[in-house]
Amino acid sequence: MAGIGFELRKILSKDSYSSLLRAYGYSAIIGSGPWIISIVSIVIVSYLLSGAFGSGEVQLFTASITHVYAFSLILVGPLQLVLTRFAADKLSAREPEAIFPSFLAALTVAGFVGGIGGIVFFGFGTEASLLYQLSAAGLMIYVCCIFIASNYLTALLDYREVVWAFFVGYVLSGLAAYGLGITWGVPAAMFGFAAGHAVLFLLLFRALRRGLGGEAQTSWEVLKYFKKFPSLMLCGLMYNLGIWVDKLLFWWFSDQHEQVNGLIFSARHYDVGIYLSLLSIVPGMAVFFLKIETDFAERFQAFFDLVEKGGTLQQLVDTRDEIADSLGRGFLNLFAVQGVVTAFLVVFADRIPAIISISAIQLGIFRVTLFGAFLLVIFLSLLTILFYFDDRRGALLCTSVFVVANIIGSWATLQANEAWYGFGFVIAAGLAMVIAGWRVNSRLGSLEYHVFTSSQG
Amino acid sequence: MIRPGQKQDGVADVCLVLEGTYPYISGGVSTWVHQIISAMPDLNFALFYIGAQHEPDAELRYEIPANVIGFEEVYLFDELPKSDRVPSKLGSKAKAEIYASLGSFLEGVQQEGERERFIRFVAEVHGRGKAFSCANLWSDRESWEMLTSIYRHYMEGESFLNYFWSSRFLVQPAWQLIRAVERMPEAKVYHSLCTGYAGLAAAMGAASKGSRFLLSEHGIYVKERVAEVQNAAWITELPKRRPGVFEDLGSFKRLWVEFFKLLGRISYDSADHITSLFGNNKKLQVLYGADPEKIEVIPNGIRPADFEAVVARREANIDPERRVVGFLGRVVAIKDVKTLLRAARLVVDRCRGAQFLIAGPMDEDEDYAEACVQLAEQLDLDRHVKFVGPRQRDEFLEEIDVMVLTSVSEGLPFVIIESFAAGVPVVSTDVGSCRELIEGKGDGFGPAGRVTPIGDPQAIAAALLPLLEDSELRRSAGDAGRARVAASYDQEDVVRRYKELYQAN
Repeated sequence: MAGIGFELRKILSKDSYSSLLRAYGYSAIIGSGPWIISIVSIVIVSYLLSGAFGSGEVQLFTASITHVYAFSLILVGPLQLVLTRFAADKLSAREPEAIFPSFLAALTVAGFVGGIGGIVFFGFGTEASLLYQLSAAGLMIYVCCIFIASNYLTALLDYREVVWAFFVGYVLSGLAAYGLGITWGVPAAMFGFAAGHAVLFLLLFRALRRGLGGEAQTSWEVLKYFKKFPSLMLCGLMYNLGIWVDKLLFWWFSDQHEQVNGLIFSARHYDVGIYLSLLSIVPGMAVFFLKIETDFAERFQAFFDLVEKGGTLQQLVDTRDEIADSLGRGFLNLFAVQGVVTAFLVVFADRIPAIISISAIQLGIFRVTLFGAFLLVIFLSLLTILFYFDDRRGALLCTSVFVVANIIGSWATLQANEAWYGFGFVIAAGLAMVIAGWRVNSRLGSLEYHVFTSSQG
Repeated sequence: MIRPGQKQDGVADVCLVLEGTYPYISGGVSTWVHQIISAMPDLNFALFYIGAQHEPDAELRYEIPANVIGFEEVYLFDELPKSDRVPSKLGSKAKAEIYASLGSFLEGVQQEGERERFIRFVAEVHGRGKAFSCANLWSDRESWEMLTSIYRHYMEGESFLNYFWSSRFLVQPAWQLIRAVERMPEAKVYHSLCTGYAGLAAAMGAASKGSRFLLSEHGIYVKERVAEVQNAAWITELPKRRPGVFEDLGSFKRLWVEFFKLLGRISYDSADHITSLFGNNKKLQVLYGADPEKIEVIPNGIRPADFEAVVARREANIDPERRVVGFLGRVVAIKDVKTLLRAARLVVDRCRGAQFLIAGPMDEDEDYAEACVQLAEQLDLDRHVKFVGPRQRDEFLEEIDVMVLTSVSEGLPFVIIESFAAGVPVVSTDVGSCRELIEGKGDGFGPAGRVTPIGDPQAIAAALLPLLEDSELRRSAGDAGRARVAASYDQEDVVRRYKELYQAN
């Protein structure tokens, strides 16, 4: 008999096609967790220490910490999403033991980059005591490593241990900074603050060592992922740059900017206003992570399960519509909660000076940027959904728009007067939110198309 | 000897399009191909081999004759080249044109002009070159719309995942073939030895190069594939939700069957001329869509001169007491050797001196061969039945008095013609052209043996016994066979008729 017929069956030795379907979908909390924590800790520590030191010293201390956090996030940002992707792929390939070695590799890189950055910046860029410079550089290493570690925290089952680690770490940092600071001055406070962070890092490391399993041996396999997903690297960079770029511009170019020490600058009006409003996103973030993301992740997984179990196209479309409905309800919820918080703060902002000392200009910026924070929290939530959809192009697009709009907008308001400060940030967050919303919407509208067509066998 | 991929010098007279056969796989079709090439030294041939997967250490089973001047091959289930695994960026106008022509083909399937629409689509793809890749079919929105609309029409209720990947596996080999058409040797005639992928390739090659397309079938490809699909356990089907018209076949099996039928129709439609080995196969070709006007029946043939020595030796060594029945073929299920063994038991019961020689490779389906040996033991046939393994044809024909064939499926078996040429009568099941061969279609030579139903040991034994016991009957049947072969199954006639077809305009 002539003919090869379909000898294909030999090639397709698997008994189902489902193994050909790449289950993607991973959570990417894009370091917003650590970022919020860092803002909170800066505000609290500076408030605590303001009584202990002269204002110039407090300013050096808090500005240094702010710089450390900002630079660490920007430096480590390009690593974060790629590491998360690697871990997610390894989990779905049932090779969880490959995660810990990749974590060690990432720590090596992050510690190295953080160390070099810290030594260059504080060693050559500031005129302070050696202890101060070394402590600040050390802090930068720990913060970079903590940000790397926080990528993997979602993989841990025991959240209490994580919360405990952060609690102990920050309380220790605050107490040590305060205790050492009032006795031996600002360099000692920085030393104490860094030591507290070292403890935090060690606690997280211990939790991950236990939770991730695998061999304690560095593996550079993850490097391949940086080649494979350059868009994720760029996306991480853009995101963190977008978060900080308006502050950098205000530090360096605003009329009221102050040179705190060497290369360390601050912009009192803008800094206080925007940090306060960024604190306002905590309720919105909580709604997203506790309600929307968990519900969404479950339904999204159910969609894939249905595909594998042989669901019909109609069933898939129905499930997709359910996902869309639930996301819609979730975002309405988010709008409502964050809306109430923002409205409340805008209305009652007048009362704040009675609680903490804050100038009229700072208050104005606070009111403006509250809207920005409102938009930002929605943007962040949509961005996380985009990562579930594996829409890297869309994620890169909206984070890039965020950066560019923030640069242009903030630069433009800097040319005008204080009344306009903060509008650049608001516009950037708004634009990014609109684009992210459009991408989520279009992806969701044809979810089945994207799921099938992106799995190129 | 020519190697695959070697540059071809000039235009070949005939390009043979070969799917899973000559020169890598031996068998009836391959033997035939080798005969034809060797018998026409004045014509230049080229080979276009279509295989499943490339195996670097695959051996040629034949010494390729010197008049083969071109040799190309394509492997349909190999991985696609990289350029076809990444979707190309395409302007919306170009996209619209390609998908319009694909859509027109898909809509026109089973309608008038189906072939022309397909050829237009192929030309469209060729025209775009690398600017349109196979991956576009799995990522373009337009393609998705088509896929889902087909699903909603025909597959609603089935697993979409299975559907999606089935379509990919259905299309990918065809795509490889479309790509390979550019590499097909230049020839005045494309001669395909089956429909299926080879028929499709020949149709595309002939259309793109303005040559003629000759289609010959030994078995009926579509029928064989349908049987294969029916038995395929790997085509996943969901449990039936509602009874339908096609209750015997699930949707996915139907998808495959329809695909192979489509390949058949395109081949039959494209062919300028079709040949068939015997009348019943011609009917099947017509059933699967061939125009009866185009079909010519050309049987297989042998050279009677090659058998003169055997005939002479047989005559010289006549032993009236010898009663040896021979079987010459692979010991596989399709030959139904078990029925032969049961018939042997019945024959031996009535005719004490009867012997059965079963000659042929036992290693192709080892489980089946082993089961046959065991069955012979159970039937207490140790002294009467011998499994002798592969044997040289002429020697074997000298050792036997009657040839038996119990196959459940055959075309025009060489073994019958060869037995006849040697003067050996044949008892065969009524499959393929066996009845035509044994009884003759009123050619006046008389029966050259007996025809029996399939799987019927009683009938086979009843057919064998008179031939074994009556030496006169045996002799007259043997003579009838020789006369028939000389008259209708002479290879010279076959070669002459094919040469005419090759050189016709």
